[in-house]
Amino acid sequence: MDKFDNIGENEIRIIGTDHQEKQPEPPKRRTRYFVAVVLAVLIGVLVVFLIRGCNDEPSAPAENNCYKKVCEEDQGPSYVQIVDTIINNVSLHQYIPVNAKPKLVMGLLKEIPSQYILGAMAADIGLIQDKYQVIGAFVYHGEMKSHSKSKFGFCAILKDTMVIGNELTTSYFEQAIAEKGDFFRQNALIHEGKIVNKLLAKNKALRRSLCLMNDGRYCIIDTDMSVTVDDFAEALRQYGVREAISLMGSGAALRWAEDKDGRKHIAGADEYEFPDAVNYIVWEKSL
Amino acid sequence: MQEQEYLMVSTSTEMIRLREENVVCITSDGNYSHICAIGGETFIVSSQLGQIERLISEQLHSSYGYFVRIGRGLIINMRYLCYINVTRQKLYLLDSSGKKYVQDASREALIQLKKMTENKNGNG
Repeated sequence: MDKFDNIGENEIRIIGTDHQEKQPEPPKRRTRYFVAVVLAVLIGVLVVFLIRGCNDEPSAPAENNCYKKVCEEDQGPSYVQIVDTIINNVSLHQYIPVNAKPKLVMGLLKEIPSQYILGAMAADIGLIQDKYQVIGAFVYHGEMKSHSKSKFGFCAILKDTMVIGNELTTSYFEQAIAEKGDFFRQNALIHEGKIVNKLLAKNKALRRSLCLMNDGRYCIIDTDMSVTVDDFAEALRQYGVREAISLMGSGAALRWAEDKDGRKHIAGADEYEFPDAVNYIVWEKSL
Repeated sequence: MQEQEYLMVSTSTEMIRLREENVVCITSDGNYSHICAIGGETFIVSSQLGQIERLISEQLHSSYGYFVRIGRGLIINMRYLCYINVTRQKLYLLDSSGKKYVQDASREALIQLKKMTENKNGNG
């Protein structure tokens, strides 16, 4: 392996000389101590989880495994940059919002408001106790709408800052309630640049995901061809996605994007069976 | 008079030539790298970050200590490092035009970077 590629995620090195390549790793004893503490905490969390019978969202801060992006200063017009690419014969369309703020919207949109330049249906909906409800924990503007057994992936929006992660328990849930933010759950596809779980599923469908790229930009990526979830996740990983969670409903669910010339690119359609539970992740124009 | 050093990245179809002090940071995007220049201009080059690191090492001889590789995905120019938050796993770079660049890095890497910067300032 080239020495310039030989660096771990937790290492730094000064560029320019061979005699001072790597900063020393923390001492092994400290590492062992750290591993022991992490194991103890994991066991503790597991025990608490089992005792509580899989109740959703116990409070346990877990920010280390999440990534968030501080919104950059707004300047210039708001639009969606669209990038088309093919990875491993999987055709991907990437929608990157520029100068726009993320938020959740709940309730059927009969028309797409002009201030929302990018959006897609977000959390899954299912029939729970004879009523269509959001599946997984869901907080809308600080109000808890759903608290059912959750998926591991999550998205939180707190004061225009988006966070995507893969944690069964996360303090962002409580934070979303306390700070009148938004929170929803979905299946995680990529975490820390790695595929979360190989499902080995054979069924093919149009796929869509909410992603954080390695360069720190958030975007929506979808396919215009039916692929397995594993092939989709592998394509995302190779494309440079650091974190990704699924978005609702493959080809049937609505997704729209307004490009720099003001053209709208729309895929899917709204579901009318459960208008109250329909929810969207959208990016609103910065004023 | 000492000749000015440039970071030059050249492919069959394009060439980027920047003075060391005009490079703020370089981020990895798979097989591509994004070179952020002062003022916010970003150049995308079809070279992996390791190849850019090699070019910096080979071309910018008098810039030792300015460029630091942080993990697999980031190279920063230490001239512009202004803020590290280990808890939030963030670092900010502030260029001479006042533009702020926010980057993610691992907690462990940021702890090392913070310590290294403190030592450097202390010795300087």
